[in-house]
Amino acid sequence: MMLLFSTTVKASSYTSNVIASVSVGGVCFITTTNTLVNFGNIDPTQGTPVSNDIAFADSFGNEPANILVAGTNWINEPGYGSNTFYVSNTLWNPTSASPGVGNALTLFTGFTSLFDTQLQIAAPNPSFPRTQTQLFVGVNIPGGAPAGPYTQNIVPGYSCLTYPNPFSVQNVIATANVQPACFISLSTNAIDFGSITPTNSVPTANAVSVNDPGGNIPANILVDAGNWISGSNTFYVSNTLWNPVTEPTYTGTPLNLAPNLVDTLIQEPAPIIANPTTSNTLYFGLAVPAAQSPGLYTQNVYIENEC
Amino acid sequence: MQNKNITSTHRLIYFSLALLLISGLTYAQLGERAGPLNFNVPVNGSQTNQWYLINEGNVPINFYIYAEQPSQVPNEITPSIITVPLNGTIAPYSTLIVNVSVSMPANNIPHKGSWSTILQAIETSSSKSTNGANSAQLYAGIAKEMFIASTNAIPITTTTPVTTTVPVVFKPSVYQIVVVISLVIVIVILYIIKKLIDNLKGDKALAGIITKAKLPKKKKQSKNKRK
Repeated sequence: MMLLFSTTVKASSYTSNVIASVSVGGVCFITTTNTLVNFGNIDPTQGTPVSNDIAFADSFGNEPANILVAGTNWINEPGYGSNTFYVSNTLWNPTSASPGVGNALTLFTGFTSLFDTQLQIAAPNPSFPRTQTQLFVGVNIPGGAPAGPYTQNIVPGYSCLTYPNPFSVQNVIATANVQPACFISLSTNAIDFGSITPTNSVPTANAVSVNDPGGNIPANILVDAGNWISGSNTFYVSNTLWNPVTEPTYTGTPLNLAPNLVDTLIQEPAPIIANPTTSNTLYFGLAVPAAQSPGLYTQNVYIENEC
Repeated sequence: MQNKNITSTHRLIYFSLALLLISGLTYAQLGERAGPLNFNVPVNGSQTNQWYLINEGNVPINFYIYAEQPSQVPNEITPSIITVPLNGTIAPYSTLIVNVSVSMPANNIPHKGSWSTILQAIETSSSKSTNGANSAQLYAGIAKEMFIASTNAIPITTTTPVTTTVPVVFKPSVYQIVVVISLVIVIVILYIIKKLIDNLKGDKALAGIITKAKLPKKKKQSKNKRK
């Protein structure tokens, strides 16, 4: 006897989920992409636009970071002396700006002295695995800063959001070449000699202070003038005298008729940072020739610094 | 009424003080980068150098430039100086570059070779106080020395005397004449003496001949006598 049995065997599968978990720490890793900033030739009292950039990049991190910065004082490059001017003459700004616009760089004395610019570099992500940002810098040269090449270390740093301890990145070397220059300003733009009758004179005691407000080398003082004029009446320039010292009488050197500058042999001392304005005084006197027609006379006097 | 006057006075004082305050906040100071401008210009050429004018202040500076041209000398080449710009405005806290060009004409007229002159940048202000009296109006400026040398110049030569061969005319002095005369006299005297001597010699010779003719002949002695 044959018995036939049939049965249906069904395949069965078993699945179960494996839950894996990992804790990914936040990290930021900032590098600078340029380590040299050259401000070029700059005159004393002048500043550069705050537009030289220091670029930062994050290629390995996963969270944002704040950019920190500090710096050292400016000092002459080796072999050019030991002159110095303060770190705060360097300005930084999160965006490009005009001369004089920005924040003064602070002195680097250690990691804790790095200043938080609040400039943030975004966290990289799979879509943007590399992020970057820029900090802009410029420099003002103080009046009286001696001419020559200078250098400064700008110390950039960063701090991560979850790991706020500051880190520094490679230093940026800043260079600037201060040029020799001189300036001029006068304490007054006119001398009032008052009313004078013919054959009379005014003592050479009218003072004009000739200043150099911010140069860095000595300057020679030159002077000449035009004739005295009142309508169609004139009298000659040489009736005006100048002197380096005040005199109680009408005495001194006659002015030359312009354009014929004469060197007064008075030299403006070179200003220095501690004393950025130097000055010397010229004194003027006037005599009116006999039989000079009455009137209100004026004369143009040119006082010039030469360096 | 009195109160109104006081109020007006106060307003005037405040306005004047405000003006003083504003004038103190604005300033303009002209400067320049140091160092003379040196030019080495070939004949029929030109050279341009840059003169840096600086405004240290917070208001613009209006200026004009005066370039003192080297003096013209007849029959000599003189360079000409051009500045660009001749006048203008320097913005606050900025440097303006003035291009200074020197041109040397071309021809074969001699050159002096070098010149020195001076540039001036003079600040022009909008107003100057006069106070209704004789007054000197003061203008601040910056001066710049210029030194110009001409390369491949035909130098100016000073006129030198022309030397030609001229026959030497002997003009003896009195002393020389006396010496010559004396020599002549001596020669003559010596000649006379020689003549006399010669004459004397001639007489002697004649006398000798005569004497010989008069003297008897000496006999020859025999050689045998002694035998």
